[in-house]
Amino acid sequence: MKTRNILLTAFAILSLVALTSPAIQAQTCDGNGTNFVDLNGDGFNDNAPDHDGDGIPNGLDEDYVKNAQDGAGYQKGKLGENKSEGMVQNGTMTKSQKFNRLQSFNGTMTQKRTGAQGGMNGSGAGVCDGTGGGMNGSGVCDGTGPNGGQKRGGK
Amino acid sequence: MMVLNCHPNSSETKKRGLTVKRSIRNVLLVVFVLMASSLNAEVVTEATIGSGYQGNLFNDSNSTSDSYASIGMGLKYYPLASTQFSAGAQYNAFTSYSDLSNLSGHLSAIFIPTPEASPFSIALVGDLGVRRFGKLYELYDQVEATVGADLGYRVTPWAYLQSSVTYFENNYSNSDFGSSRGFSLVMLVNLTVLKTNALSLKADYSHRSFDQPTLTQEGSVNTQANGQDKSEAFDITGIVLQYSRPLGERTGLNLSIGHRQLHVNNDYTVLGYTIDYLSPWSDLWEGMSFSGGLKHIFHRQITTELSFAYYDKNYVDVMELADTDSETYWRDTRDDKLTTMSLSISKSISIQNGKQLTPVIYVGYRKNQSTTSFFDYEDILASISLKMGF
Repeated sequence: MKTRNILLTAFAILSLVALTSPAIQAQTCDGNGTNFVDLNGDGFNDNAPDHDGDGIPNGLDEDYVKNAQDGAGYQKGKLGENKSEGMVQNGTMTKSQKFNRLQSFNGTMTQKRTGAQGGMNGSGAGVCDGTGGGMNGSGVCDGTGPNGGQKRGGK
Repeated sequence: MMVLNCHPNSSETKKRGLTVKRSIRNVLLVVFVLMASSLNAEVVTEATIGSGYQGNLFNDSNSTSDSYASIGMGLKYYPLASTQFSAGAQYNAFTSYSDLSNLSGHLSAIFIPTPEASPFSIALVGDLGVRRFGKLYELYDQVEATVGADLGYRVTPWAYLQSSVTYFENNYSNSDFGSSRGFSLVMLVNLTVLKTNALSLKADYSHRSFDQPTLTQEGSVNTQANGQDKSEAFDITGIVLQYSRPLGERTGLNLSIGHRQLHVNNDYTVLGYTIDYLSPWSDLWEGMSFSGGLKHIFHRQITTELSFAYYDKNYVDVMELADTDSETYWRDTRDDKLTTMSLSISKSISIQNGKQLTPVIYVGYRKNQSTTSFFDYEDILASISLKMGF
């Protein structure tokens, strides 16, 4: 009961902090002025482009080097230099990148369906027990629990 | 005999030769077709190696620990930008409990026929998974199949609706009990409010039927005498409210609270010897839960994820053997309070031609307090892995 109270209090404080703290432009805009959307619930904008698919938005990805065909695209660590970045991106993206983008627009359900078996943080022992990031799922294991542990493609 | 068998004019040798030729031709044909279709397709391969330690393998007060190593391979095939076929396999080898070592594999297909620009989206998904343990745990070998469809509709830039329907079948191939099948329906509403606050409400319903042993009036279990078993159906409903938003440029926060409800008869019971750990029935609980997480992207592509969760799990009643030599069973209730915390640190390293290396370090802690003292336990998990995309 004590643990529960502490966690509930922490939960309430975090909620309050979250609602009152400002968000910064890097996560509110994808370079095209698209609105903030967070379907996968990680607190980052799903619309922020991620060319190399490493889960880090281009604007925060120091390792990201603009595509040679990209013209004046994104440069290291600088966000929003190329206003038509979205169009360029569509023209140069590979099929897997296009698919991952489609999938992220489609929401997280599709991503979580496949590869549900995984194992306790990679050990492969254990079954879906209804706990984990997906929480309270009444259906099939969505691979997000402690026995999922697999990270798939997105952010 | 040997000479005859090896003679080139022997009819058996001829037949065998023809069969081999036909097989080679068929394989070449398949390879040719795949190569031809691969001309415009993209193939992405991944490999993962790792090692870890688990402080409590069986989630009980015995605190049995072991270390393990794992290796995995995955392949994703994109004939079109709307289609993904994937296959993967992973082997996990335990050091002391070798029979707990397991091989798992999966095949899946996802088809998203709707264009990116469309506010309406459809995804069709199929997945087949297998898992094999060593002899001691072969009772838990599983074959799992899932087919489903997701429908999404972006009402406005800040409002998204999604629903999904799934049929699933989970077969414990070496056990008379525990296999299940059923379907689930999910409805989700995702709203963006006040610029960067995402609110998501998910409601789901699942209908499942389990293969169960027959219990007689007295409460004893008769499984071997006449091999009787039956299938019991029940429903689970759940609701989750999730909130997420950025905290500054490099941090994301998520909080969620939820409740799941089992819809079973008051006298519903499952066999106790499998309620824990690898049990097919380990998710038959109801109660509240809440969780939170912080994701922070540091400089040099280092991503950390800190998370916590709390679950108040009220399990269905369990039938336990009074003692190992007895056929008398007694009935027990179980209510658990599980607290979990974890931290993962990963670094994405780009190498040539878009190839990536991602080392991941994970540490986790779990504490469970149960009304059944046997299930009071603590657990520490630690693992390190390297994922390679090429």
